Amino acid sequence: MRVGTQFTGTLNPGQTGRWFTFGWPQDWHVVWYFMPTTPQTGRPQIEWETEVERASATAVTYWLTVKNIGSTQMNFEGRYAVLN
Amino acid sequence: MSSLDAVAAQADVTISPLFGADRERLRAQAGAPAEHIGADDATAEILDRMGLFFHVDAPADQLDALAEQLRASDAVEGAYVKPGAVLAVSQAASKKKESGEAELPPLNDMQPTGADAPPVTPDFTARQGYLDAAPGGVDARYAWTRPGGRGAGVRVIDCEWGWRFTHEDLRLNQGGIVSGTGSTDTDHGTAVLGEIGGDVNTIGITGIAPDAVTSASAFSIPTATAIRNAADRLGPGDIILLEIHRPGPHATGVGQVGFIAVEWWPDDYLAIRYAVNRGITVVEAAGNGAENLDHVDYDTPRAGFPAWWRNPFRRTALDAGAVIVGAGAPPPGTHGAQHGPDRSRLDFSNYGACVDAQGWGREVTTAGYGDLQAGANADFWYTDRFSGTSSASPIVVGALASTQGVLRANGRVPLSPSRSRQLLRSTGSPQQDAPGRPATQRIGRRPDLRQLIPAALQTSSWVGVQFRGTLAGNRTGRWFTFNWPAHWHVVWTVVPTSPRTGAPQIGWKVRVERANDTYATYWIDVTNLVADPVDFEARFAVLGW
Repeated sequence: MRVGTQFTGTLNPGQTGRWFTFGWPQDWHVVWYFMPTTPQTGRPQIEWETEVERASATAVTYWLTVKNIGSTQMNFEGRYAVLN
Repeated sequence: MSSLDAVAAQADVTISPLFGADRERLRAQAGAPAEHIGADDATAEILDRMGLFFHVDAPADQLDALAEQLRASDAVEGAYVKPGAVLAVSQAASKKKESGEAELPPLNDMQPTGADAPPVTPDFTARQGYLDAAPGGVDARYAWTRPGGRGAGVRVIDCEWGWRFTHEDLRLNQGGIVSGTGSTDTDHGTAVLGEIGGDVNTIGITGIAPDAVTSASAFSIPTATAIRNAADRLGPGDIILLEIHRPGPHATGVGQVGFIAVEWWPDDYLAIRYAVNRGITVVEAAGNGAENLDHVDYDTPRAGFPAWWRNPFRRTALDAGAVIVGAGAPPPGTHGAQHGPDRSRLDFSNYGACVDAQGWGREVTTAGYGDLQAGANADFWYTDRFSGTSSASPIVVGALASTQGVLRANGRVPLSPSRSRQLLRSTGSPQQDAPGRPATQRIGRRPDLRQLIPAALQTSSWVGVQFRGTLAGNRTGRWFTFNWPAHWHVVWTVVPTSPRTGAPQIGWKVRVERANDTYATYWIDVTNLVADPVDFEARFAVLGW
């Protein structure tokens, strides 16, 4: 198993962004999760949804919709884990 | 607006946005439509605050009066005169001494008195004791045996005034000046770059992380702008070095007494924060003012500081997120000199709880200055005596760049700025006492790559149940769990513990709060999808880091 940060981004308060990342081997078990890198205390800052596209017999594309639900501009990391 | 107009109308006064853009443009540069945040919003964020900063250029003798005029304007939240920042170079030794004040011996006043460069520069690396094994050095020689240990894939930007990128030992893996215009006074920057990135060859010196790409951002423009410009060119795991200090509230005009780290000023604080929020580690000289940065006087804002300002040295209400570096003595007898016990605080070095780590503040052999080797061409100059928090900070940068290189070579997540600070505090060779300068005057540990690299590589994974709960039928509840190290990769699942067959019972949604640079809070909404009450457990998996 290994973890990593696939990309970083910036979202303004209330803003939703969509990212995709392609070419992932279909046999990898992958989970996605997000971590803000801009501190802001007292309330949740970020939420996300993961959707998947089988681009070919061998490759998968992950579509990641990320929303800034905080009150300040936020930098974040798009993190993944390959579990197998 | 009349007092602001009056200031702006003067022929020799120029007012320009400090960060090159107004609030809407800064937001647009971040790729988002402008959104209004009220001016009295207590949580106004970094970019919005940056958009409110303007730089006023005017003759020096008018600055105090202009600041007062600006503060009188309702349109201006604050205005402060910023003392000129300088390198840790000596002030003129002829400065008049105030009675009872000790003028510290000057730093970095070396002259090119060394022997003329021969056709081939000798190998000076044996004189770079800071490369050697701990406790005397940072054990760069150990790091070099590890894949990535020379800093491959890491980018470093040094922020100061001038550099000699034509130096014979700085030819490789350098990106030149990426922002601003370099000064013709190049010894200091050349020496800094030599410590970090001196080329691997048979001549001269070798840097701690010679495979890192080192570039420069010049303070020919306002320092906060130069720092922001550097940050815009870097990414997570990269490093910015601030080779600068500035006279603070205790400065007397005698030498560099009272000079402090620049994050104390709001505009530099914001620029550093801008970089740290992007995962860039900012290494900042503590300053050579012989100051106790824990002193209560630093809690008092300068006239004209914005209302949100708090003393960042406390790292409570505000934390710039930088790694602050103090200057420690090299092993006694280095180059035949005695500066006190190894790793003791040097007399000029600032100290305090916020100083994270130390580097050699004396006897640093590197490029430039010409006291070790000189001659007609400064491209062949070397020094044996680079000093100050100026020479200490590049040693910490080199150690971090080396560590980031090893992580990268191992396919691992780079150290975040917070992790850099944590590991520098938890590993390394400890500070020692000197007569009159006890280790309680904290300058931190000297990095030891033989400890730092394994600590950075260490990871683990485990699962557990964090909490249990109950929800009435068709209800949603919100739980939060705090003080999770932010560098951990954590996923959550929620599982019912009360059996009920035939239909899904619960769903959950995870949201995250970055409470500070070090910790995250997970907010978990759990929804009971059926009419009957449900018991559940919230499970976590720490997947590594």
